[in-house]
Amino acid sequence: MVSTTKYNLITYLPKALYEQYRRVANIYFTLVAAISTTSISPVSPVTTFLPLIIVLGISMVKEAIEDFARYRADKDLNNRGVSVFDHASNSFKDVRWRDVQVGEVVKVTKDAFFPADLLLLSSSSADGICMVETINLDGESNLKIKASLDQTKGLEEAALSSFQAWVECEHPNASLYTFTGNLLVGPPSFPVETTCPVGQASVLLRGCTLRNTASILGVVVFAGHESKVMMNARRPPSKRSRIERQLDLLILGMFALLFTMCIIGACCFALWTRRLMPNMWYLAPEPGRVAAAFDPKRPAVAWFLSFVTSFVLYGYLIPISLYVSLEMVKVVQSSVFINMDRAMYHRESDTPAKARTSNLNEELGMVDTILSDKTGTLTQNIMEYFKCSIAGVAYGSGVTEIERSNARRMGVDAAKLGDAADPAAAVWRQPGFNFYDKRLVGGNWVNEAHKGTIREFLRVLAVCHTVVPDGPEDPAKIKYQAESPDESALVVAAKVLGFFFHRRSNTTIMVQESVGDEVHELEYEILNVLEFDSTRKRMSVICRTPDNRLMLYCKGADTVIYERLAPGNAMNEELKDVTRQHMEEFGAAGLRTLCLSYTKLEPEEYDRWQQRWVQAKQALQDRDALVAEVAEGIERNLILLGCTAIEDKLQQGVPETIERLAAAGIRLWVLTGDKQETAINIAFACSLLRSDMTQYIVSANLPEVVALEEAGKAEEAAALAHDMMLQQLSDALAEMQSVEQEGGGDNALIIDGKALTYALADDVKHLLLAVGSRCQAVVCCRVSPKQKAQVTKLVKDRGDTTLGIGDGANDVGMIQQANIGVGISGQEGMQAVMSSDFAIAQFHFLEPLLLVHGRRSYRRIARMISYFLYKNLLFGLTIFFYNGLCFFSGQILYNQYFMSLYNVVFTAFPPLLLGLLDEDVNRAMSSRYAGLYQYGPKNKLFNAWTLSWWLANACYQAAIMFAMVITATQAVHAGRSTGRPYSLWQVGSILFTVVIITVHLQLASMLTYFTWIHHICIWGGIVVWFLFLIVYGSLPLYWSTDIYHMFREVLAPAPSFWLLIVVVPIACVLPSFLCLEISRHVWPDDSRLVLEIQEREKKLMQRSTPLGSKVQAEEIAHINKGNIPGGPLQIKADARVVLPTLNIPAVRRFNSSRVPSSRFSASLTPGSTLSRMSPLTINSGFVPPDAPGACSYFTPRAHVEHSNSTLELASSAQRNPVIAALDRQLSTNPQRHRTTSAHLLRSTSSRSLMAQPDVPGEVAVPVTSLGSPRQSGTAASFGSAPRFGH
Amino acid sequence: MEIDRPAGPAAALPKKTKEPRYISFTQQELPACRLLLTPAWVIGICLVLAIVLLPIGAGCLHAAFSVEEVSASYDQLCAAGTSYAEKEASLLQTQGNGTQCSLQLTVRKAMTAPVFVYYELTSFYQNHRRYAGSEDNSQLRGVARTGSVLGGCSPEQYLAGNTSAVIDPCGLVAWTLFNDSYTLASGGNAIAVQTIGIAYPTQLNSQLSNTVHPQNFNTVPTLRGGGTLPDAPLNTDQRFANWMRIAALSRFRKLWGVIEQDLPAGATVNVSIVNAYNTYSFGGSKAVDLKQITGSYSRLDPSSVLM
Repeated sequence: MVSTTKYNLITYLPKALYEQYRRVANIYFTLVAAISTTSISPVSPVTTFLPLIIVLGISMVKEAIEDFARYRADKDLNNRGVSVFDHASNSFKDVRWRDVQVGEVVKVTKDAFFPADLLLLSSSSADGICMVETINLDGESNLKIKASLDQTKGLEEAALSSFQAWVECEHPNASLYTFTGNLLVGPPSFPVETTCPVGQASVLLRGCTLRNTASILGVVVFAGHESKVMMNARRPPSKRSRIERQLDLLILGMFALLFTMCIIGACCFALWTRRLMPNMWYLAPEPGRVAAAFDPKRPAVAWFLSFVTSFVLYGYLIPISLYVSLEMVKVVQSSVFINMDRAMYHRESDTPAKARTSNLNEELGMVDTILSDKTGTLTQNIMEYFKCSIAGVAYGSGVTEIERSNARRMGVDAAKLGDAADPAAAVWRQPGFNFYDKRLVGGNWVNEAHKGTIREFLRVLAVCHTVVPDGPEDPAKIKYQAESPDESALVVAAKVLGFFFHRRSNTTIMVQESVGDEVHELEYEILNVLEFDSTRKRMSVICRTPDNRLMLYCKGADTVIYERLAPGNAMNEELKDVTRQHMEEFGAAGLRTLCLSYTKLEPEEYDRWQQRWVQAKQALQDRDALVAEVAEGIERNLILLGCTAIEDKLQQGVPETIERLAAAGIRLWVLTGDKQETAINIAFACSLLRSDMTQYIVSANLPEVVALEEAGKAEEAAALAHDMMLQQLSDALAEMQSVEQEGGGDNALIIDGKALTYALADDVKHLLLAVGSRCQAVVCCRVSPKQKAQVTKLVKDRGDTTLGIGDGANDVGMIQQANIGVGISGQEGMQAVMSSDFAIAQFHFLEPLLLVHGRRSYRRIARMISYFLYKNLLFGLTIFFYNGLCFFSGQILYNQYFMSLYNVVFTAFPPLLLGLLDEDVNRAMSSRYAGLYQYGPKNKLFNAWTLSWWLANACYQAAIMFAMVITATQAVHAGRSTGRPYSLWQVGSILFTVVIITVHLQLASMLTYFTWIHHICIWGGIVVWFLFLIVYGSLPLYWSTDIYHMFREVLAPAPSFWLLIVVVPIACVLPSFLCLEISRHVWPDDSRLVLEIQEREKKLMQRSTPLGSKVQAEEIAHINKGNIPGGPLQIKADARVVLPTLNIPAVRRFNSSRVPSSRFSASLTPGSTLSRMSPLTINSGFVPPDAPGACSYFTPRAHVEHSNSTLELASSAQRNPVIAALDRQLSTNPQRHRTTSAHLLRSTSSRSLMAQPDVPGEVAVPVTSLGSPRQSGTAASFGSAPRFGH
Repeated sequence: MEIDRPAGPAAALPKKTKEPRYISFTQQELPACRLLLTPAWVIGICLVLAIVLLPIGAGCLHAAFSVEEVSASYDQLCAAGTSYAEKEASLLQTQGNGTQCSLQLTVRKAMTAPVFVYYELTSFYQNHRRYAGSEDNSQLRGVARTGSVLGGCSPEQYLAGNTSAVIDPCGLVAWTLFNDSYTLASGGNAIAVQTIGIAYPTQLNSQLSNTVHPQNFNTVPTLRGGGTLPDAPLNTDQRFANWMRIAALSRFRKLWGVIEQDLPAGATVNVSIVNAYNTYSFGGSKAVDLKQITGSYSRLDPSSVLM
């Protein structure tokens, strides 16, 4: 029985309440409500309880609804059926999942879910293996192979009754990918007592599905809550946004203000009570008749009770409904605006964006640093076999995109790079394979000189893997299920090159080898698989070949393979250097390389090793470490065959996105496992590195260090590396600082994983940070998952708001560590997504996520909170002021219901408007002027200054409205012709009306964006108040008390009432309105300028195109006359459309070459659709996006009027230098918030910390290498062509 | 091993796309208007406001100056002694009958009926929390209430602490009813002062009982000046009704009566005062006001804004 619900019927109330009271504000309000039931309270309980109940009620109902959904899902799961073997009846019987017990044998049929964590005993397939799909567990859709133990794989249902075995295993834990246990078998079921090690390969986890296998038998190891998936089900620790943490401080500040006001009130009250009250006979001050709260003889008691009274009275300073409103707003922001945004929907994978938490929306608008994975995040993670090097010969004729972009950067014609479009290549092209070399394909490899090596190479590809074939055994139709796309690409390559792997059993791999015209069906007996993991960085397969040799095939990263090559082997010596050079070239082209090697094993040697291997596999403690250690013992004396190079293409839109993000002033750190050269080239290809940046390369692979390491002096090597790291980083820092003083320039830091291990040491990391924070781009290569998390923590601890983005399991640490974790739901499963806060399908959705949603959410939340505090302070202050006029006795001016509904009804909607619908610039503009994003990281909208402005505004407004209303209503003749003066409750109602109108008017006066919802909420909000006043006043006297008939009898007939509620709000709002408008015009900020550019463009566009008009036949006629429609236009076949030479006045008047008329006429064929021209396209004729100087601006600073006729003549800079300069700053250097001046085109090659050997025939490589000559050699190798066209 | 791709239930169903539908709200593309004010607009708005508000202000000023009002404070005049303490002592000596005095009010401009007569008190905190809440709405309405639920009226709940003698109307507000009285005459002719219509009709019709007669009311001669409420339904005493509408500030005026006759310019109104209400103990002042609301004022009542 599994229950994931938080509550049941009995615990719901206490537990849900407890949850609510974890918020300090709720405790305060409950305390206030409790006080309000006593006699010292100035207000009746309804005033305090009503909002409290509404606020708590909303939150608790939400909890209940969510929990009920969980309950129903649980019930559904618990009542699923499964067949369990029943010893009594000696047969299977159906039980529900909830009744499955540990130790029972269950039978699961095809496509059914496993009801618990099972140890696979046997399967319906003869070799005891089965396929499982883990999509529910981790989202990975490829099938995984699970194998039963040799001892039990023959177990049949009939034999179950006499089957006996024991399982010993680890305690239940949350690790999905490990399992440590043993199966103990012995008499009577088995002849001898044996301990069989059980690894995760034989364990079937609850929640997975059985596929492609008729049925399996398994014994329950962990059931119910102890199953791994349930152990995993706890939610990741929730993150809080920076604004929310600031809000806590702010609330504390408000508490301080509250206490100050309480103390002032209590002191005055106690003093006056002691001195004045004994004479006020009308208050019955005589001892014995007076209550303690008013006793002039006991001023201390009076002080204390007055303090408590004030505490209740000024509760409005602490906004009770703020948290609930914030929660509602954030849920809508995330679940509606983000999740339903079509701009973040990926059609190919049918994936919309998903906000997995609603806590962090505004944090998205405050990101300083993005830490990004590379593979699968910047790249597509669609691996294609692209090149290889076998026996020292490089094969493969393709040209990667990165080479092309490198070539473009260096001004070389890409066409010269190679014949990528060789028609012969297309024949061989298929998913995972984009390789063409006529020396290898089509069996031609047998004619090569090293055909023996090539053959062994292809065998490694075909045998050394964990891929599972799927589908018919036909090379054209077979599908490979692989854990990583690299593996599958390698197997596909083997297939295309003639080594067709087509069948796998638990112990064998079948390969059809085509050599020349012969096809051999060969069976390799797989003895051991030494699996891949990120620390080993290699995998090996030990197999018995058909010709009965014992072979170990190994593939892995170059560093780990090179370390294990057989020393002195002739072939190794021959291939080592040339292969490394090839790998560097491949890496420079952005390819992922793997080294392939083999070694022949002696049977005795293998047998000895096998025993240790089995022991290690059976160990219950530290099994993984032991296994790794033993594996180490056989993966040695390897013989190098060559390397493969796999292309991983950049995702769509990555360079543009990175440019935008950089333009938004966000630093990007790429953390990748790739080699340095690959990483640098990818970084160039995706615009992360630009040629005008100074590169600082920090590496620990220094010859001195390497020499020490090779000599086995690991500790000394580490100490030296540590010192070198200090040296390199401080050099870099000094250089950057000196350059900064000269005027600056953009920097980039490239650091490798080994260097990072030293740079993350306590005494070095501040240097790393200092350097890193001066860089616009940082590339960390060869980093381990743990280092990713460490780097993230380092940056975060500095105070930066970090965003970690990645797609794989190795990014989980980073994603969880960062302030915001973003998962890419792509090829590598869902683990990253499961631990993330936001999930998107493509890297380029980061742009709308940050620049649109993040920016808006930040702005909205910041303004909403400010406004909330403003309206509550305003209201609280009027109460305080009035209290000063009534002896600080705690008398309230307003009706109880007015007060209790102030927050939850009368002013509930304006904050929601700000939080949900407020908008400044539109999407297009927030991308175009990405620098506007910096408002968030700089926290310009929610800082001490803006908050003070709001609070000062509240104080001013409270004072002015209080003074005006009180004085006006106190005039004796203030009544009407009846001569009746206003009484206390009447004054209160007038003042309350003024408060309501003022807070709504304040909102309206600061907005620049109005939808119909705005109008309903603002003007409707005021109407609602009047309706309430009328309806409430009409209720029976018992309910309406002093408000009975007030509007009808007192307020409505009084002209002074109407005059007051018009004049006073204007007097309140006008100063802040003027202040705002003047600052907008005299000191316009960037967002205001962009807004004006946007509006001006819109106007110009509307002038030239009939936007929004319906597409009709007339419109076609319209087109024929030379006008461009604003909407998508279906050209009907029967409408005779004359393809016109478009006469677009606006366009024609200008440079006609800018807008080719063919763009318009080409699409005007019958039956085709004329797409709506984007504003930019249409405007590009006369308002180029980078020269909006054509606009006339409202702001005096930029107010240079232009008539349209002048547009034709001058360049934007001549037309309006101020705006042109501004616009340049905004659009090309939006980091002007961050760096004051940047000489973007500064030559960087002149700066170099080390004298670099001049490579003849090369332009100086613009790499400021802090490494060794070896490093500069590396740099030279990927910069072998001039990088700049200086 | 047998290999075939399962046709699971999911595969059989037509594929449902997760593409978000286009709704202008969810895409944040609601039709909207932008309000970017140019300097011209801002100046324009200010001008419009000025054009609208200036005449209103002028009207208010005019109305405020044209209101004819004569008032005189009489607390110093009507009690013997120099200090407040002495005056209080002399007032208390009268045992609640009050001191007699009179003063002359000279009408500068002609006042047309109705002319309102107010009394003004200062330093009197009707808005003190102890005072303002000390009444019982139900009891005032005439809903019979027994003593135990009238806790809000404490300490003026029972006469002299005798729980069988429930005070009706109870509470401090009623208990301290203002008790000075004025007799007006001009040129030897008495001026009739009406009390009809000085209170809000709603209060008389609904908030005060039309059947219940006061009982056990304050007869203590000192301080408020003795005298009990007339033995008539509560809602017949409109001055009492006005007193029960507590004032917002400690300086307040309440309507005492209406003169339904014109007072010519230069006329002298002689006010004879029975000064019984003790404001000396807390240093409050008392005054009497005559005031007329002009015709234009009664149409538009803006002067209130400017006091």
